[in-house]
Amino acid sequence: MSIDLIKNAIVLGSVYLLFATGFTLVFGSFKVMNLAHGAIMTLGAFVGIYADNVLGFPIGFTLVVAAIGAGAGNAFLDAVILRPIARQSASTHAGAEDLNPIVATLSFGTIVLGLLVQTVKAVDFTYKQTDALAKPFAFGGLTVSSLDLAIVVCAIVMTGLLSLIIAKTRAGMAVRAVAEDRAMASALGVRPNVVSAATFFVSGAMAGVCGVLVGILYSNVNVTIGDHLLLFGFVIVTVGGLGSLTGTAIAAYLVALVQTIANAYFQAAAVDLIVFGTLLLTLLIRPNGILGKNALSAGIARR
Amino acid sequence: MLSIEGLSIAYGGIRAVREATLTVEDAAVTCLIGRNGSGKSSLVMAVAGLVSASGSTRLDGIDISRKSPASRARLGISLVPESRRIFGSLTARENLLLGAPRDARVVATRLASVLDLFPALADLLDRGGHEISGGQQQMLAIGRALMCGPRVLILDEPSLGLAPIVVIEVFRAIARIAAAGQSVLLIEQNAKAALDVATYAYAMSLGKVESLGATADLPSDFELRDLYL
Amino acid sequence: MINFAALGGAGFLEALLIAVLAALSQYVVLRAGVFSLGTVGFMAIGAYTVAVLTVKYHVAPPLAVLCGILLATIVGVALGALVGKLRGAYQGIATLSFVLVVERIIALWESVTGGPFGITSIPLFARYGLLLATAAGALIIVIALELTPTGRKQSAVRIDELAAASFGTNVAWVNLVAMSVSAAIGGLAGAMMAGNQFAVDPTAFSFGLIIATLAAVIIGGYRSFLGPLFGAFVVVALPLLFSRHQILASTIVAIVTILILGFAPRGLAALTRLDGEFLLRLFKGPLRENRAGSSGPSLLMPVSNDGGRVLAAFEIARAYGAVRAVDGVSLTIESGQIVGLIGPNGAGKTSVINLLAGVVRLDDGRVTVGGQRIDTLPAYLVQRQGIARTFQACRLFHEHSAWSNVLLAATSGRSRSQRRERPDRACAQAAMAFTGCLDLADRRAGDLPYAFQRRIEIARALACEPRFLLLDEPAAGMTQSEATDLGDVLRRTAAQGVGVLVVDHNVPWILSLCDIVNVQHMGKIIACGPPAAIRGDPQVISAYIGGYVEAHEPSSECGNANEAGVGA
Repeated sequence: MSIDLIKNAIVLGSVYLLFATGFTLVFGSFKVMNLAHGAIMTLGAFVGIYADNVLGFPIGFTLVVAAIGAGAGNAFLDAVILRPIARQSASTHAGAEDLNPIVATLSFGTIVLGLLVQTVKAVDFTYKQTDALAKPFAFGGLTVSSLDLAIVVCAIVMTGLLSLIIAKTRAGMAVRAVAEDRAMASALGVRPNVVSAATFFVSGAMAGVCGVLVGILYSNVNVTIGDHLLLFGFVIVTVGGLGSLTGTAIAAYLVALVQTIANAYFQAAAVDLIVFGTLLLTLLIRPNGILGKNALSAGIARR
Repeated sequence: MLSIEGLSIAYGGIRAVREATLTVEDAAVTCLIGRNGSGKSSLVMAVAGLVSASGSTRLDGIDISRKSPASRARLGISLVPESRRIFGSLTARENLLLGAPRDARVVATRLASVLDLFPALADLLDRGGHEISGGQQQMLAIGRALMCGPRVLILDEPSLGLAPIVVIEVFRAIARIAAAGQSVLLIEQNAKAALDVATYAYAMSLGKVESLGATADLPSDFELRDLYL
Repeated sequence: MINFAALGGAGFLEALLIAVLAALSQYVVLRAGVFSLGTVGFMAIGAYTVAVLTVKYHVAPPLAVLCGILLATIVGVALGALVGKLRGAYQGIATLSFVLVVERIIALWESVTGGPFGITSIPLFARYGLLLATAAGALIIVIALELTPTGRKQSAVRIDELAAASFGTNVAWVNLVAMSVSAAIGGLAGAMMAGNQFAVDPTAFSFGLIIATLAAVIIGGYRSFLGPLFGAFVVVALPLLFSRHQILASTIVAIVTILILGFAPRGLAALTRLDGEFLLRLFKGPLRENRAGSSGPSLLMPVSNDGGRVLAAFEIARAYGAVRAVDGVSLTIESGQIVGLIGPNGAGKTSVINLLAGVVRLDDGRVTVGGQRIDTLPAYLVQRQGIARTFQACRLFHEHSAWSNVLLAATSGRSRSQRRERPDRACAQAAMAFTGCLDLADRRAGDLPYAFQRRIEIARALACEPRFLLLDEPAAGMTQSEATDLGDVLRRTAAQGVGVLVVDHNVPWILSLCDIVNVQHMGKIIACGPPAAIRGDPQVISAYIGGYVEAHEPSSECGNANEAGVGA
């Protein structure tokens, strides 16, 4: 196995990690499987394109703007769509067997993509202010572009920072408390709606950063870039054990490694077959993922 | 002063609380005793805003009956719920800090007084909320509510499921909290212990609240057994 | 801008009928509480089987369709067995990955499936007429399934798995049935799709189709067979209405979906009253001829309690974390006896019932019926030993009528010989008459006054013709007179030879009702004996109204009495 292959796997794994961390964050805290996550990432990529192509922002700025745009979109999903639907379901005793939130996120994703298509049509875009990321570094026999480096650093720093925030800060404390017992947390003065909107914002912001970096990596942004990532994000968070950040990180690099190696020998459909087949087997052998406890079944099951 | 007037709660077809009226005086313990299922817990959940109810609830004259649970908590309603509801994914220290204000000095003073009240908690601060025993959880829950700096501390069945020796300890703590001038609403089925610490008493039965007046004025032959057996 | 003409053509109707078939397949699993997204995978299998057989092997279309259904069903049974132990979203993800795997296999297996180019020149056998006939046929099968005991158990499992198991429903089995039927209908939908479209290729079975099929059932609702019909219409018609603005179409479907979720969270079909429950009342309602007649309440089961059967617990224990909820409890219930279990809140009374009913595993001790151990059995098999229960919080299937709640128990909670001896409906009717709620049979359980919900829960337990009945706080929330009436029902039940265990907080009521009363405190039985003895017991008084008495071991006399099974 060549060293380039490993480098590619690490870069790809970092992209997956950026994407999946936000997905896991929302699932682990609020038991919402956010199927709009791919669309939110695409939204971030296009906000980035606007900042880059139209406003001519430097890339660092573009990343921030994209993060805010995608984060705001995700917070909107929580505050305007998911909360009212959850209230409505609760008032009609629909029960927790309820699939409505999943379908709502799916529909929201469709709306976001629909509006994007309406605005930008089915055209491919590229980022232009990327000279800063083109600079190559040589480590022994391995050449790494500063883009590769940026992706890996971004993924690891953001995920690490997020785990720290969740584990150590007051805000993280509030997220864990609301996740565990919304009513009790509110009886102590924590505002659950603010906490959940903020969590969705952070999750969306990470997807937005991921969108810009993916757009630069593949030199192409169009409205379909989220689709494939969503499926793979799905695989990763499940294999990692839904709700577990560490498990997600391990799974992201594992899936990337499997995919990169398979890519070298097989055609694309076969690679997908291997990846999805692995997912199915993992679920049947270890129903809670590599490190997951019972986050998921606790969230969806009745009691 | 917390005053509840004409508060009613209905779940589906059951009327759990019917037109309850009750006042929690400042710097005193008011207890509400009654058989299980009489609606005591529903009543205090409604006061904390966790259950929707009709009627009015006023804290120091301000109507809080339409406010969110978080707003009520910030105005000074602190609930120690039945079964405690300690956050298992938070450490004991984090449980305590959750409702505390941001001011580090205030937090330090309150933490010190909570640890003074429950010295046993000092060694447990870094344990997970589910790794400590029932009695310790109860102390933690009371401490957590005190960290909010409550106007009215509501204790819902603090002796529930605790060993007798722990019950004694919890009631001693309640007496100390009250002695410090904290107004307390105490919900208990352990009526003897509750009447011992309370200044005013109410009894609840089948969703209706009845005032028993000041505990000091209760006749010495007051038959508690009628309420239970 | 709205193109109504698009809904006129045969093209729309054909697309609609295929969508109805797909939605029916999705509906069958969702209404059973199985979160399977496998439908599109089954469709792909059905479609490719037909395409390969008709084009390459020139098999006649009807035979090819049958083969497609058969293959999809076989795969469905295997998938159902594999994902059976998964729950909720894990089931969703596993079945979704199954679809993706099927799709990739089709794309890769070029020698048979034509790979990404698919198969063309499939005979066009599935025109409008045939599609209409198959869709109608599938709908009839789905409705028929809904009315069978298995179908009713499926929706009971979705609403409350634990309650369903408590009267003998084998959850794994009814889920597997749902999966198989879903697979068969999915295979049929795929086969019809192939016969309607001249060509199949892998892109037809994309993520988009999975979403559309799921959305159709959610929009329509999975509580009535009308749901998939309404949902399929919305999902197929809306995009066509806006077909001149193709990009808008999917956005509008999504917006409509969200609005429906917000304003009609149970789906469009819930706006009508027509569902399986309605048909059941129509066809299988109670007979009622006895309502005014003399044969009234005493009609209850001829109790098959063979002499001195005893339900006994020996030193059972269960801890939750550091809390010892049940700590070495022994008690016995004989046939015809009413045994009370009281104690302060948090004493562990409900845990005792859960342990006896097999819902929770024992840490220590054993539970026997007539000397045979039952504590190793799963809940639904414990029920088959003649042990029925009710729950602390009323766990009726609130979407079902009162009648259907009780009938389901009569159907699934009794042995074959019991069912032979006495038809299900007669048994359910007797149980309802016995508890005095036959008049409420047609009402939706969730709409009834609370006291009657509790009675129906007891009727449901009695309809299993149990030898032992475990009641968890049956009188909670009742007024004094309602509790007294309930006491009469329980006395009559015991008089029929059923052993009854009652947990309640209403101490005077328990003391007036029971032959033997156990008092539990801090997980242990602190007193046990006839009501008169309990009333004066100082330990009991202190456990209830306080004082700080140390927990004592139960008097040795009590433990021995239990072992021997003292009568009243």
